[in-house]
Amino acid sequence: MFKYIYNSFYDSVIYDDRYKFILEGLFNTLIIALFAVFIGFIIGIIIAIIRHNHDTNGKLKVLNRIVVWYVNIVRGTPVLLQLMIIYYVIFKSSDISVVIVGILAFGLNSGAYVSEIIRSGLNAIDKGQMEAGLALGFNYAKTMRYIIMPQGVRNVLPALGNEFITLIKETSTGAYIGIMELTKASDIIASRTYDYFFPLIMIACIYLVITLGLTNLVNKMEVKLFNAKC
Amino acid sequence: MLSVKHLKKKFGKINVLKDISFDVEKGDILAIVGPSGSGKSTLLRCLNMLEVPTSGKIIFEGVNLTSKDANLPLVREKMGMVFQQFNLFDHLTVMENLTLAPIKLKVMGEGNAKRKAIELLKMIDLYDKMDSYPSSLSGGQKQRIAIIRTLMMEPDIILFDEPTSALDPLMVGEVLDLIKRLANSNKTMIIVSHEINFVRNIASKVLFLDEGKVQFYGSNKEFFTSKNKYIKEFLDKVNN
Ligand SMILES: Nc1ncnc2c1ncn2[C@@H]1O[C@H](COP(=O)(O)OP(=O)(O)OP(=O)(O)O)[C@@H](O)[C@H]1O
Ligand SMILES: [Mg+2]
Repeated sequence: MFKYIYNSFYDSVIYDDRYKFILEGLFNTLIIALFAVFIGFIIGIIIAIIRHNHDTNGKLKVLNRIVVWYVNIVRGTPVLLQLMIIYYVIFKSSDISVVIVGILAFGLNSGAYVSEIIRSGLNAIDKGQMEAGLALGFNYAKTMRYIIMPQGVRNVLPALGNEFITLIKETSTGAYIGIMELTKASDIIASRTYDYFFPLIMIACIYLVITLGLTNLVNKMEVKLFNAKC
Repeated sequence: MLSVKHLKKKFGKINVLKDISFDVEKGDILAIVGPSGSGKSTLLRCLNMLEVPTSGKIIFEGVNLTSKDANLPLVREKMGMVFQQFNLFDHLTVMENLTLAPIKLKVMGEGNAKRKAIELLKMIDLYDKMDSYPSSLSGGQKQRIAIIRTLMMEPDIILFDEPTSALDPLMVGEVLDLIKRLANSNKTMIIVSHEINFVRNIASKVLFLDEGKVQFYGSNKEFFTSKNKYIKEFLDKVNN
């Protein structure tokens, strides 16, 4: 038993410097998830503001319709399909790095989800906060900036953390277009050791350590925010 | 200072305000009274355009607020409002609540804003709450902070929408006392209130609203000594 584990570990990690696949995979997984959540956050805020402005002031009708379509299309189709469309159709004849394609695809995808998260955070804010801002002499934009947005984003910080965790797992679909991320690394190692069990379980454990650790952080943040409100 | 002319407001098909006209002069304390659902809050919220009137004119310091090119944010700096639900900014400390608008709207610099905030906090005996968040304050404390928050902008007129009706009975007094102090310092105010004794004490004028119409508009004395059947009925009801 011990011997099996030792041998498998040696074959999957040490032999032929195979740990380098794992390190590169881990690095790419984290980089893609991190940049994607950042892009997603920017897109999400922009969409949420457009929709909020439309819903409260009746402005930006055309823009609002466009972003609603965007959100519907992104949420209504598989992320792998979106990734393939971006890679095989949009960047068909360019030699752009697949990691960048991944960041773009997952970022654009995440933006739609994040916009809904932020929207729900904004909707949860009492109408009186906006009115108090306006009554003091702030215009709509300044009220959003100084009063509504800070509270809305604070309300959804845990949900944004969860979005990051989701992205870490979702980037595994990037293996399909050849992104060298964690799942791809385990696949490559397995194809060389002719043993799927050990490399796949090992990578699963790496995912688990990361996601459980982050979930723990998010839960702590939730408790802290909850206490701050009471 | 403030002149309301033929103000009408509909919500869909419901006529909430039907042709309201009145004037407020500098130093006036106008109380708006009337039964529940008569349109008092709607009227008050029309005055600073939180609610857009269906028709009519609101002329404040020479500006017609219902015209398209009125600069509402600028007007609202000079027209404070105190809400029934306080509406302090939950994510900011007391000090930040007080100084946010004056600083960001460039009414005063940070130093002056803080100095003024401290002065006002001392006036209401809440200096020690400067760094607290609203969630840790009592209702009465919140409302008093909300009142001095509007004072920070040095408004020419302050609108109060039932400032004590969301409060624990024990805390009504401290808020009414503060409003009374403002009244004595010659501030111009419009107050919607159910506290009829308070109205009798401080109002210079009374506007009695019922079913969206002005049933009475005149001096305090005229109102409380009126022989009018509706007014007497209303006063009997709220006195019990
Ligand atoms: N946003 C709105 N949409 C539709 N109807 C409304 C709206 N706001 C108020 N109303 C209606 O207008 C009428 C007057 O409401 P308003 O709140 O002005 O009365 P009020 O005199 O302030 O009553 P209260 O003493 O209970 O506060 C009510 O019938 C109310 O249902
Ligand atoms: Mg009301």
